[in-house]
Amino acid sequence: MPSHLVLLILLLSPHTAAFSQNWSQVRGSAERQHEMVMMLIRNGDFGRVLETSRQIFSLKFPASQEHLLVQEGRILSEALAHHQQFQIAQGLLDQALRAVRSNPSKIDLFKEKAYLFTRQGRDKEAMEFFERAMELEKSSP
Amino acid sequence: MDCQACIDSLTAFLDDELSAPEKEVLQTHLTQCRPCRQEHESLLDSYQWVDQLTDLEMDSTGWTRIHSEITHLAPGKPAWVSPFQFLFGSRWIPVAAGTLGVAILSFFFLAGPKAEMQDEFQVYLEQREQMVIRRPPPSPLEGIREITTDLPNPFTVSYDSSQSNPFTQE
Repeated sequence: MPSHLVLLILLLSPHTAAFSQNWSQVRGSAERQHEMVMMLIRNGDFGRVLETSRQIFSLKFPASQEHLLVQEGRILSEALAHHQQFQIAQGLLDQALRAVRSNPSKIDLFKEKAYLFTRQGRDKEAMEFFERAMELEKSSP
Repeated sequence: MDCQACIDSLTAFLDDELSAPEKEVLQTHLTQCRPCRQEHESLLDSYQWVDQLTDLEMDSTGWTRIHSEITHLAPGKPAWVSPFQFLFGSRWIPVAAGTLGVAILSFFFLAGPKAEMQDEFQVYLEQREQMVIRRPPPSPLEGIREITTDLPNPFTVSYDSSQSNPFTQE
């Protein structure tokens, strides 16, 4: 019986190592892309923000790390909103919404969109997105 | 011919709607079947009696008088209605009351949750306003690395002190 266990561990260990290596690469790419997007924002080169951020949100994130995409959406949209680039910030949150799969992530991003609309003074749209977040929250187990 | 077919054909026979062969068959049956003959005679009596009736002619003012009586005939109403008669006199009042009731109910069912949702949103906004995303000031150990913004990079791996090199002297 212990020999079976050892065999199982030996069989699984390459997969775990490969996953770890793969995730490390994904994280590294996201980290570099993030710095690029932030540099574009800092330099006022807003026209290239969405095509650069798309490369972050098209990376294959494992489900356990999906919260980082939400956090990324929040941080980048915050930076864009600071420069009054609300439309691009909303587009960026839409990219994040397309990238995430879990309901808690979607709920957070809907709320972030609502928050952004409030900052724009678009209260009706803000309320609509907050309602969508609440509906999803209620329907989620 | 059987009796049922004979009975069914009697009216057509009296109205002279049967063909000659059918008439002949029916008449033959009637001469042979007493119940059918009695039925025929009874029906024939009725026909003759109706023929004797004279048509009633309504005079020209008759229809006008009937119409006038119908339109002026007030329908009987229960006693309890009379105090509310002023309300039911106009049809728009109950319609308006119904609409108002629906509007009030809609307000409670729709605006109630909406107001609750708005309160929740306000609470969220307050929490979100306090959620300031700022990068901690860079430590001297970060050396030459350029800090592009005070917002943190969520993908950067940060090591806590428990994972620092145990052999480094403070």
